[in-house]
Amino acid sequence: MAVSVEPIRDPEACERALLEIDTLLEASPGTADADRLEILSILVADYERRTSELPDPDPVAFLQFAMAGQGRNQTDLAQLLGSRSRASEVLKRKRALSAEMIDRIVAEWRLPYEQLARHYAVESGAMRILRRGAIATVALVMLGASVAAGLVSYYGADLPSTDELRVYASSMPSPPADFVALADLPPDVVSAFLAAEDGNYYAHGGADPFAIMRATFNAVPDLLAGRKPSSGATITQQLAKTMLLKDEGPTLGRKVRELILAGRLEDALGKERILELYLNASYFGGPAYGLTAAAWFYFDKPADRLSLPEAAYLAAVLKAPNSLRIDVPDNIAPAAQRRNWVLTRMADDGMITPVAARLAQEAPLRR
Amino acid sequence: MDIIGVSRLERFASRRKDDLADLSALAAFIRATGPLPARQLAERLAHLVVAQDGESLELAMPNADCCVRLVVSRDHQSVHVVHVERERA
Repeated sequence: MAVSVEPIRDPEACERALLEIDTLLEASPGTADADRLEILSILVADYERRTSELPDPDPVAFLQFAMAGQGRNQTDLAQLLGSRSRASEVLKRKRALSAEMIDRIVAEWRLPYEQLARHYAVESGAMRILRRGAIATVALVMLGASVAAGLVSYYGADLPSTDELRVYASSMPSPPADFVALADLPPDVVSAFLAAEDGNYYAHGGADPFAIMRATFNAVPDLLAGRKPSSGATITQQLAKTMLLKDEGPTLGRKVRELILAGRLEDALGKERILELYLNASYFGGPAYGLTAAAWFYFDKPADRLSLPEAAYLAAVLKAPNSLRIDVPDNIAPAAQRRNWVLTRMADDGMITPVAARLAQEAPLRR
Repeated sequence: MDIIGVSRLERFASRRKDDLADLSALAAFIRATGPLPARQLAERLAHLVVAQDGESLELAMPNADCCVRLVVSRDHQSVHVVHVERERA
């Protein structure tokens, strides 16, 4: 007897065929229904082979399914593979199934070899180290941020706020007798101080992390060489210390407060005003507080008439005002050395030409 | 063994990652098994069998949180996926 069937070309036809198959499953062999079931099954199997995208599972997913089906657990796998860690690593995809492992599983648990021998991705040792490193880095950053937030909250509570600091836009706590405006100073004077004290002044926001790291790394070599370690403090931090924290000793707490204030000063006053206050508030040795007093004390002239070598010397003397003051004859050599270093830095930073630096280095410290 | 109705597993498996892993493993397991009566197939997956009636089997998938009803053909050459449904709580 002829069996009438439609071809299966789309999901709807496949579903119709499957529904009919469901009704024919109990058909007795040799009957027309059994023939129809066989033909429909062939058509559906062929259609599904061509169109089904249900992927083959990776070996671990297959192993887990088969273990669940057979009532086995990780302990059973550990016994089969001879190691608890091996079983754990296999199930977590940290270790690939070896040929020896697959042979044992196939032999003992009667699972199909081809499903277990397929290639699959495992987490490599390098990836594991990378992942752990990333987690540790994130944890450290979060810990660092928490510590920083705690320090700011603890040490910053009694410090003047950004708004309160805005008063220094037009005044300063202890103004020198002869205040000099930044706009009145020759460019070389300003450049000398930037080169000597804070090469990144216009790039940072009050603190210079690279300068702090550099100072930290150099602290031990400096101490071993008998030099005073650099603090890594920016001009803004030095102003905060000079103007607002001068009564506090050199402690970690003061350093934190200095950093907090530096950020607030930057927000409240801006770069130009901070630099102006810094030059007028700094101590230059002897009786010289402020740049105007220093210019008169060392060179008997106003600050706006300082020459390049004179400006470089005044920028140099800030590092150790009383050890580098040139009214003391023993200080001439170290003062000249420091001044010449400032001039070299200015040339290196492109603030002056190498020729100008060399001529200035040949000039005497005092006429 | 051929598996007829794998498109039903495929449609169901597309809903969740766990379904996909379990149902594709079931399909692979059936394909890799030689012609068997339902009783022997049930023995190979004994811990998943919820019910068995003649050549009809109902399996609870370990991670997919669903049940699959299968019927082994009389000649034991193929397995029909009759129904897949979410397990009732």
